[in-house]
Amino acid sequence: MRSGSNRLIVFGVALFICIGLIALSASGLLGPVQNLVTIPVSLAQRAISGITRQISNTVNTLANFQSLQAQNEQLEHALVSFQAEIVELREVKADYDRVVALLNYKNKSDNAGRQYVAATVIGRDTTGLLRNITVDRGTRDGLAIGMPVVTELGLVGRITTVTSLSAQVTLVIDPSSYVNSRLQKSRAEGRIVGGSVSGTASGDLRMTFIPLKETISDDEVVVTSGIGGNFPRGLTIGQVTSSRLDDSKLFQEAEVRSLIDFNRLEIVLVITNFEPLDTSAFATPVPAQ
Amino acid sequence: MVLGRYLSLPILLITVILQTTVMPEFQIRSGRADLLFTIILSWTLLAGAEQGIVWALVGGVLQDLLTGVPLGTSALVLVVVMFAISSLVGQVGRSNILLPPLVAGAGTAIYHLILLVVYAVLGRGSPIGYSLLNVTLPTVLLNVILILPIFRAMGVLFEAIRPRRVSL
Repeated sequence: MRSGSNRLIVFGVALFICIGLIALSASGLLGPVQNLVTIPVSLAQRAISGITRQISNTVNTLANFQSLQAQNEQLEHALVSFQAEIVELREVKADYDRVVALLNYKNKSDNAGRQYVAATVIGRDTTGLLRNITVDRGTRDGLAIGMPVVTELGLVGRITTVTSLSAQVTLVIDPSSYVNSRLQKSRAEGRIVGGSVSGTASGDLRMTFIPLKETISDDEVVVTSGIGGNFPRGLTIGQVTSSRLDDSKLFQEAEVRSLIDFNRLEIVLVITNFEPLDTSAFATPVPAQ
Repeated sequence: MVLGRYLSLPILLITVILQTTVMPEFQIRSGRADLLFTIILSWTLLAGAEQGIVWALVGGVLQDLLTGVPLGTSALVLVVVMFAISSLVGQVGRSNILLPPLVAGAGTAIYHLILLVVYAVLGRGSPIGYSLLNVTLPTVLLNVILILPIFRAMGVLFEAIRPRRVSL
């Protein structure tokens, strides 16, 4: 009996305390006391919570190891596929940029009246001895021997062989190539020949037979002069990087750098409405033996 | 058994901190194992109503301090539940492994039901159906499992501090 009444008393007191606490808490009187207790406990909470979270993360990582592995494989596959797609899209963008540049070049007022056929480079000389490229256009597209080939950066070369579906272009940097040219500012004339001192295909040229009296300044632009009838006049060839007297001391010669990287040519324009003059009629006849 | 009352404060303080930091990791749906409830219940079953009510009062107040509900709310519900359980079941031997899980399951359900009502009265009510399904039911399940080691551990503690008869 005593135990039962004790239990009731304790219960009653506890209830009273609880209700009192609720009432005091609701009235806000317990705020300072609550803060006093809560602050140190909160610090302990924070510390334990941090440790728990770390342990939990580790356990979760271990538990999810298999699914993570599978997920990783899936992501790797996706990555490979996306990378391939990116490469493809980059190619498309690069082609697009090139075509836009060529189109801008074609629409320039200087080039008005010229007709162009765009051609893609499909082959290069593999020996390195020649400076030729093969393009995917031929007689069927209106191409003919002697037609100049350009890009928006300047003269590339001229067609030397043509079939119905493709054509060979001899680049201006080929040792056998020569182009009658002119310095744009000083109007001095000369001849651009391929095969520079360095002998690379990156775009080094030499302008020879420049008269001694002419003053050549660096960075001067070299263009085709049109003399000889092999190329239309005014096509950009490159820029002078240096000049000196040639070996004979009778002329000056200048190192010219084309802006074109001939190792990376991909799309070119063929000027189709230019017909090189046939100057063979002016050649000195060979006396019969 | 006065020692039991004094022990309540450090044990329950640590328990409440663990309850708010570690136990949320053991969660099924929105329900989580209630370490505080199982410890107080275990002590109530082992030491009887008087001590159980004291532990419920102390534990409830500490829980309220850390959870932001009006002070005394959880304490009130825990005191009522522990009083009801001890009145119905009485003391249980520490070797009993059947009754504690049963009491834990039923006690958790009642505890949650009363809490829902109290929270509704205090204007912080939540949908009953959703709460019972997603909070109470998983908590009952987890508490039924948790009470087994907790009751065992509290039994060892109870045995350690219980006054023994000595022959003179």
